[in-house]
Amino acid sequence: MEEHALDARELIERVRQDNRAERWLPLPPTGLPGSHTPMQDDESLYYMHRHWMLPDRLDPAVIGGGIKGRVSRLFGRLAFRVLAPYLSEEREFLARVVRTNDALAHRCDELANAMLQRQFAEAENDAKLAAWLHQVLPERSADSSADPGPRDEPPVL
Amino acid sequence: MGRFTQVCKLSADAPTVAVLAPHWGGTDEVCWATRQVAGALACSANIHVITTQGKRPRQYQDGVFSVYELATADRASDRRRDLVLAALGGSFGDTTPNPPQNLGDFPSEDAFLRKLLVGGPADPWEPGGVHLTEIAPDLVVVADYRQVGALRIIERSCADVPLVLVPLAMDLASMALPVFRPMFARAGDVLVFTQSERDASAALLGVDRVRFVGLPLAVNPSVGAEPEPHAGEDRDYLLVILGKPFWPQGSTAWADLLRMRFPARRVAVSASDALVVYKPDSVVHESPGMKGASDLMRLMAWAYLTVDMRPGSLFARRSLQSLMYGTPIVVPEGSRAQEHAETGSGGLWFDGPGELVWCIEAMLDPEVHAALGSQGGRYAHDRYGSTDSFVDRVGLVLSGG
Repeated sequence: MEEHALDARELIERVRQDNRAERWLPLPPTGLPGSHTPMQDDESLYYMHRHWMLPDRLDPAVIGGGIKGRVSRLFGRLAFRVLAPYLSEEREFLARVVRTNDALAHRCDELANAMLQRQFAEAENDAKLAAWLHQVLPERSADSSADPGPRDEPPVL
Repeated sequence: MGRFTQVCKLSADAPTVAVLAPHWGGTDEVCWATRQVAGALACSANIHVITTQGKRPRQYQDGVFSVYELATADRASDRRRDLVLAALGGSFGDTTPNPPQNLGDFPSEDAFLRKLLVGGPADPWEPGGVHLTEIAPDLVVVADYRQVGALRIIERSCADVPLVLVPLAMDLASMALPVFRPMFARAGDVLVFTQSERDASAALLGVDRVRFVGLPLAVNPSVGAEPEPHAGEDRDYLLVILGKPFWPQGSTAWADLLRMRFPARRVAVSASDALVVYKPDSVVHESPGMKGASDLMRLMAWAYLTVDMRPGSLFARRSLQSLMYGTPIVVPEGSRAQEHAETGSGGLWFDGPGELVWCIEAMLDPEVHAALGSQGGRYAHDRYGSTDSFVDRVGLVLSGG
């Protein structure tokens, strides 16, 4: 037996020992994560839906009676009349903000789902690749000149 | 003047050698090895080649060789024989040549098995007996130990002539089948090309009758002067030799695996119909219509390492050539190339995708890479790098040395 500075057999043994715990096996993903919460279910969005509509008139229930109440009602009506165009604009603006947030949350969920689906597909594809590689180990005694013909298709990455 | 060209000066009383080979003139390792042996003998003998291949019976001159094509080979029969042998080998489940215990129950003269192994109802070697009688050889060489019919015409036409067997054993397990024993028993010398073939033959016959002749391999050193332009110039790419077409599949899981695991490295995939280079920036160069043997040598000479997915099953020629360039190899476990990686410590071998990756990772260490490269180069040059010693070793069968 020839003597070599670096013995390939020993190196192979070492490589196999070092990597004994690390084995590449086909492990298909089990599914999409169950803890994923859609943005559309976010509590802040519910709050915005409940509170986007600003009041356009004074609420008599909060004013009370008596002279103080009459004066407050008078000033309140005056204030609402003066601020009516602004409040109307503000209300429209808030309504659009809420709708925009709805749309963003919806889109966000769509993208998150698409990304998850893609990651799922890629993980599944990697698992198929691993399985395929294990099945189609190199032809150990095949002559290079002979074409074995078509084999199972490997997964497309 | 090369020794192969000296045959024109053969004396009139030069011996005559008949080479019986099922295949002649092909490009695979078996045909190439057969031709090398015949060429070595042609330095000091007149060579007549009888082969069962061909479309119609004919005789022609192929360089220094007089070739007789019998045109009796039947691909279906060959395939059936291979299947029978694979089934027998598989059932005994052993890759050593030692006959398993239960083989004793297997009748060597079983007519059905014999018919299958001979090649069908008609023995394809039968018409060759006439030529063999005409040639009246001083020595007969049989290429491929499975040619049971060839032995039959030898016994009939030139029973006293010495026989040299070149087993061309790709399937070591079936060598021990009783149906092949008469061939080995009749052979005076057995010429082998690899250590595993030698060990298998020696286990059957004893060491003294088995002659390791290697094969005369040479590589063109000038390819080291200029890199393959598509693969790159920095000797940093991983070369994957598929040994089969890249198209129409267009993608290989092995190359994808290396791209994913070594994203910073270039991976050059050499297929029989294309060279595809995957680069770290995902630029892919495809060069369809690739690629001559010289291009492959250039790729091997400049590669960091060579991964040969389908090494030749007789002596793994490509792997040896890669070693001759000092490029270490990574090859499938159990392949004939593993012998070169293991005996010469010129590379590593793998038994699955994970091990392939680990082997390459180990070889990315520059010290490991340099040691394996230089050791493999020494091994390949010492054992396979000399035409003269090959011719001398083969020539000994003529002198009886």
